[in-house]
Amino acid sequence: MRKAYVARQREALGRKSVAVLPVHYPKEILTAMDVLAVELWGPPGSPRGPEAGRLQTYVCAVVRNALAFMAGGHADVVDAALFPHTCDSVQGLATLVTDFGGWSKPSFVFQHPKGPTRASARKFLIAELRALAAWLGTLTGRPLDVEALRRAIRLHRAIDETKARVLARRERLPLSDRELYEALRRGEWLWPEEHLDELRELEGKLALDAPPRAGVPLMVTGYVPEPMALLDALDDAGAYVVRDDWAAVGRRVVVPRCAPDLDGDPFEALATLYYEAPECPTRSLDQEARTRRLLSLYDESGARGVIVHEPKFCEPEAFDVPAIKRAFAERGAPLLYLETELETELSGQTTTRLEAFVEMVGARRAA
Amino acid sequence: MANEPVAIGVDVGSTTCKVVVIDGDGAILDHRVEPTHPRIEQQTTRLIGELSATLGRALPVGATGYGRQRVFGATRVLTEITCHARGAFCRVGRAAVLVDMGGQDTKIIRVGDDGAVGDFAMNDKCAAGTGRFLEVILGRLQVPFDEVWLHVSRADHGIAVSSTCTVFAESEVISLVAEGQELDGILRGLHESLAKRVASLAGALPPDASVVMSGGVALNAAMVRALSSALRREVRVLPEPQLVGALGAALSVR
Repeated sequence: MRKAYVARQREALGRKSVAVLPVHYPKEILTAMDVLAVELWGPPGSPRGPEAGRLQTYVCAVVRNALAFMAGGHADVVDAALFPHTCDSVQGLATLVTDFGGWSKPSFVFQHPKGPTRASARKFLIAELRALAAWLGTLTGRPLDVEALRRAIRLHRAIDETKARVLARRERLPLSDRELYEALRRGEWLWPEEHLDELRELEGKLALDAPPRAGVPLMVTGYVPEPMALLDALDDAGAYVVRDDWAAVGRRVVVPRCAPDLDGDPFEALATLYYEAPECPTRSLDQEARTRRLLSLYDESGARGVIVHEPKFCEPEAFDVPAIKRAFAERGAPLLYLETELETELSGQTTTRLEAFVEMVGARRAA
Repeated sequence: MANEPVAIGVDVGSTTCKVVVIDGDGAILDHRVEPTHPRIEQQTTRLIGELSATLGRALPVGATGYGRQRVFGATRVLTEITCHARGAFCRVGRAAVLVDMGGQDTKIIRVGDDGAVGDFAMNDKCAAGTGRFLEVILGRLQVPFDEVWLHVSRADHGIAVSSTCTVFAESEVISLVAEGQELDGILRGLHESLAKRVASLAGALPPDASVVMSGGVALNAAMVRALSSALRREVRVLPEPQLVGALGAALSVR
C-alpha cells in the first residue's frame, strides 16, 4: 500500500520521497521542501531472502530488518534515505546499507545534539537543521522557501495539537486500540495534510457524552507498538492503553509549554519545539527528567499499571529501564517489563504475561 | 461445605493436563493427571465428562494453563500465574514467594497476605530452567526420574554446568560424560546450575519471606534441595504440587 502511495505521489504530484529511519527528525523541513517522508520501522516480521543474515540476531530487529528491507530493494521506490542518529545501530545502518547493502541513492545522517541543553547544543542543532535543508535542496533542485517552512511548522503544529486532543480523550473513542494506533501511524507515510484531515475525522468520532471505556486502564512506555497483536491481547484480557509513551507515537506529540515564535526565524522555532518535545533516551541522557514525566503521565491518566515495552536489544530504551522500574516501585505502581520480538504475532508466553498482569492489576483495583 | 464437590479446575500445562474436583474448603476430592494431548478440547471434555459422570452432575469449571482457551464450557479462564497464587494461598494461608517450575517455564510469584498476586517474574526466553530442560538432559543420561535423588545425594560436590541454553547444556553434559566425569557429580551440578538461574529470576527476597514450590518439578527432591541452597532458605513443597494450578482454577469458580 505504501509503495503504491509513494509512486502515486511521484506520478500525480511530482513529489520526491525519502525513507526515514526512527525516531526523531524535523519533518517540517521535508514538508516545506515538498518531500514525502516514509518512515521505516523495521518493518515487522522475520527478514527474508538472501539479505536476512547480514547482522547478528542480537542486534536491534528494527535495524536488522531495515537493512534486509533496503538491501533487498524493497525501498527502491523512494529517492533517498534519512538516518537520524537515534542510536549506534541506526548510525551503523547508514554506513552498512551503502557499503554492503547496495544502497546507492543519496543518504543523510541527522545528528542530534547530545547532552544537556545549552547554547552550543542549540547552535549545533540549528546547523544540522540547515544542513538537512541544504541536502534536500540538492535532492529536489529547489532551495528552501522560508515562508513554506513557516507554513509547514503551522501544519505540523495542527497535527500534534489534534493528536494530543485525540489521545487525551481516547477513552471516549468508539475504536479498539489497534484501530486507533493504525489510524495514528498512517502519519508515518501519508502526506501531512491528508493525515491532518484523517485526524480531524477521528476527532469527530469522539463521543464526549459517552461513558469512558470499560476495562483496566494501563500506560505503556516503549519504542513502537509492534507487534500490534499486543494491543489485541490487552483488549482480549479486558485492558486498554489509556496513555502511551511509545517513541513512535505518544512521545513524538509535542505540546509546548509556550508557543514558539512562528513569524520569526523558522529554524529558531524548530529548535524551540525540539527542546519542548517529551524526553526520549534517543535524544537526551536525562533519565531523571524522563522518569518524572512518566510518573506525571501515569498520575494524570488514571492508569492502574504500567507496561515497559521494548523490542529486544533496543539499547537506548534498555538503559532507562532500571531507573523506570525503581521510580514506579517507589510509587507502588504495578509494572510489567516486556521485551518482544519485532514480529507480527505475540508468543503464547508473552500473552500469558500480559493477561496475568491485567489480572493482577484488575484484582488490586477491585480490592 | 466440606466433602461436598463444588467446582472443577483444569490446568492444561505444556507437559501434563491436570483436572481436580474440590469441596467448599478447597480440599481436592478427586483428580486426574495425563500427558497433554495435542487435541486439548477433546481431552479436557473427556476428563471433565468422566469426573462429572462420577459426581452425577455438572459443576462450574475454571480453566488455566497454556491450553486454557481450549477448555470448552469453562466458566472462567485465568492465567496459571493467578491460579497458582490462589492454589498456594489456599494451602499455606499466608503471604509467600511461590516458585512454580513447570514444563515450559518457571515463574516466581509473590503472593500477598490476601492471596492475590503482588508481582511475578517469568522466564519465557527459552526452556532452560524448566521441567523440559531436565527431561531432555535426564533422557540423554538415561537416568529415570525416580533415581535422580539417589544419584545427586551420592555426589560430594557438583560439577559445574555453565551453559544457559538447553541445547548447549546438553552438549556440555555429553562432553563431561566423555571426559569421564562422574554421573552423580554432573547431575548435582546440573541441579545447582538450574537453581542458580531460578534464584536469579527471584532477585533479592525479603529476609522473612517464606518460599513455597509448586509444579511438576517440585516432585524432584534434588531440585528442591538445590533451590533451598541457592535461595539460602527452606523451600517448602506444597502438597500435591502438580495440582496447585488446577486447584486455583477450581477455587476461582467455587
